[in-house]
Amino acid sequence: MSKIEEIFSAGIDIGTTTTTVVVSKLKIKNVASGFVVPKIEIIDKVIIYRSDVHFTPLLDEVTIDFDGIEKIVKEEYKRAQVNPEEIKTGAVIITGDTARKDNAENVLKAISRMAGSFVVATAGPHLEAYIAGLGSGAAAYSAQEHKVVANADVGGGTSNISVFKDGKLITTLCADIGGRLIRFEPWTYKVQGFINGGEITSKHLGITLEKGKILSQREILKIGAALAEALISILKGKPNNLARELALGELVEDIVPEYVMFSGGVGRLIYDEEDIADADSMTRFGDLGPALAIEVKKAIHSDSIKLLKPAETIYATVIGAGVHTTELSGSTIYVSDPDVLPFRDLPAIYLTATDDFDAVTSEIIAKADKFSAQDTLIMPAIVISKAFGNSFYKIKGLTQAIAAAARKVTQKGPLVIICEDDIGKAFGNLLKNGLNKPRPVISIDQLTMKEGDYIDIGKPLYDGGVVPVVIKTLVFSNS
Amino acid sequence: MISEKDIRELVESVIKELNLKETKECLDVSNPEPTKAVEDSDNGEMLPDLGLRDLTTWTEIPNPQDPEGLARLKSTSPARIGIWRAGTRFKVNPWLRFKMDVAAAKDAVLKEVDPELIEKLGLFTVQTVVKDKDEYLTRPDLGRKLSEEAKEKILQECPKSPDVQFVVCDGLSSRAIEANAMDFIPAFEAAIKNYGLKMGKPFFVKYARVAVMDEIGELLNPEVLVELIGERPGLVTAKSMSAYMCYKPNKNTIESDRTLVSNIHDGGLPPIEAGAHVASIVKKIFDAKASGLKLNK
Repeated sequence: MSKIEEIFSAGIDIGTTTTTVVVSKLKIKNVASGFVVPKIEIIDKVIIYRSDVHFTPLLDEVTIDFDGIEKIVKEEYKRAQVNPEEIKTGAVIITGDTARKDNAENVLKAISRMAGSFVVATAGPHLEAYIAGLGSGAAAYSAQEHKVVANADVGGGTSNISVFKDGKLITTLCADIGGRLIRFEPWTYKVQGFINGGEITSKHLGITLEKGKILSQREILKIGAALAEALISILKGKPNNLARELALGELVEDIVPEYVMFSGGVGRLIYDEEDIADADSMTRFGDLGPALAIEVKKAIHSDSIKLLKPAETIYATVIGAGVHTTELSGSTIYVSDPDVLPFRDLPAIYLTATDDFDAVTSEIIAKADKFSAQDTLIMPAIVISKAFGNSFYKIKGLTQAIAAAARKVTQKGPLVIICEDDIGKAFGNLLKNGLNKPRPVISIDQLTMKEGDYIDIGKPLYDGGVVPVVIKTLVFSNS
Repeated sequence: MISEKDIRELVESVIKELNLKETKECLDVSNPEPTKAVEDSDNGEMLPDLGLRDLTTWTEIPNPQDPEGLARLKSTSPARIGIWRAGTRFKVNPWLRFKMDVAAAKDAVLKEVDPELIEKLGLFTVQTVVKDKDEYLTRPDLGRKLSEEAKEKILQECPKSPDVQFVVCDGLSSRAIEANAMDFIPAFEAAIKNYGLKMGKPFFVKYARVAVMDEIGELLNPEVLVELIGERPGLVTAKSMSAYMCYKPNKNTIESDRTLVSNIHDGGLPPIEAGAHVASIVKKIFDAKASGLKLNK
């Protein structure tokens, strides 16, 4: 029996409205039998702590209160009875409208560094859509039932939709549709504030928004209905005009999910048994949330969409970030100097498969130049596709081409190689061997990345057998 | 000995004999449209090469209810499932393929490793006391003993007490060595060099069984001995290779003292990665001064 190693993983979700923290325990084990190569896998994931739902602390309309968030994280860790040093992996995600605040990037980086030794920073609606789909259980359901399942994470500022087929992400769709596009004085219809999406929608309906203006209940429900209709139109692959105006990035039109789940704060309201449409309680949260939920529910009924109940609603994103983002590399890897890890946000160069090794060298030099504005200390990670094959001759030639390119790009600094095929250990050894000036080599395998993706690589686990990685994919495909 | 070309000719003549007038329909799940597998062979065109068909997609089930589900199941195993039947027997195409795989497995056992390849690998050749293939197959005990001539040559050619002694044996599959050694060896050597270990002079042993390493250990006294050997072929692949490792093998070595990495071939662990992986185990054995079950303690 091989041993089981346990690590703690944290998820932190800083959303438009709320901030949540979860802590989970991942169990890692070599599941291979004795006579074959090790196969180290995450065999179990248990959520050991869920925080309360905190309001995201803001200093003003455009500034996140970093100290406030740090305090929330520290206090929740204390209540979960873990130290930041014990957190070996996980992710902090900054989502929705909060990601557009002036100091969002700095807050994100600072929180990821204080939250544990390898808690990665993630942001952006498309990545959030994917993470929420993992956390809600949509990905797992589609893998189990072999169906096309969409998860719509409807939060305060944005709706982030991910569509899975056989457990694999096929697309993400995002739009400025959320509960807090317009804020009211709670239990009244008096407008307290609004963000861009709220203004667009109102204008679309011929309603003028002003701070302090009192809307009618009909107007609020009309706004809710317009947003619900836009959301459903996106889900059905036929975005209407409003949907196009509110869209973030492209909307794919030819994907029709067989089942739909809703997560997020508004998502949770959609599954509430009774509608509280009566009078003033519609703005009990001081926003559009309940109105939007009621209208989404109506739209689903009249549209006979197959609705599934997610495993998680309001916690979907934070659980996705904390429990499901970490992957393990293949189990035969080469890490010459573990001390240089972790690496954060390394961009990837995806090499074009060719027999011409000089072309490989020039491709790396050209692309490294493109990425050099982001990080001049470490070369971008170089992805070796399966199409290169795995003969010794080919791999040796590739390592020489990479060594030649590396000499020209930077004299020092580690080289990071990502192999799709199970050849990471051999590749690393040959590359290290062929360097005329020693520098650290990290060569890991059995991971798929595309050009433009980013990767975070943690320190080795399981006696150096594997490294935890988080791949941030921005481009999707059916493969 | 039957070559692949002979097999193909045999297969073709068998099909002709069967005088198949009607076209056989065969469903490849990777290509849901039924394809005409066997045409009337009078037009001079080549028959399809059944050996090229991927066992993880090939099914003969007529009109499966859930083709996608079937494809998913099939993709998990190269076992001959979903190949349908004619009465209580195989259908013709799966049967021919089965016969072909059996023939390939037999070939791998009966053929010799190409001497040109051994030369290319930079190895010299010695032989056990076994005289020929028949004796090799019927007397496993003799495959574990080096001939006097072999002992002399090894002592003459190889430095004693290296950190790592590397040997290649034919074992039960000549194809295994031919398919994998070329990629395994340089990757192994590169990694051994990175660990700062010294390699002895490698060589090839003809008509060898695993435990021949014990005699080699007695002669050369290496810290760690690494032996590549062809595995008994199966019907899925005849090219699978094993790497056995042992700390100071000698006449008292027992089977549980050996460490093994098996399933080295392009459909299992790629030989190049196996080379680097085996080297890392060698380093562990070297540091722990133990192998086999003792290494796991």
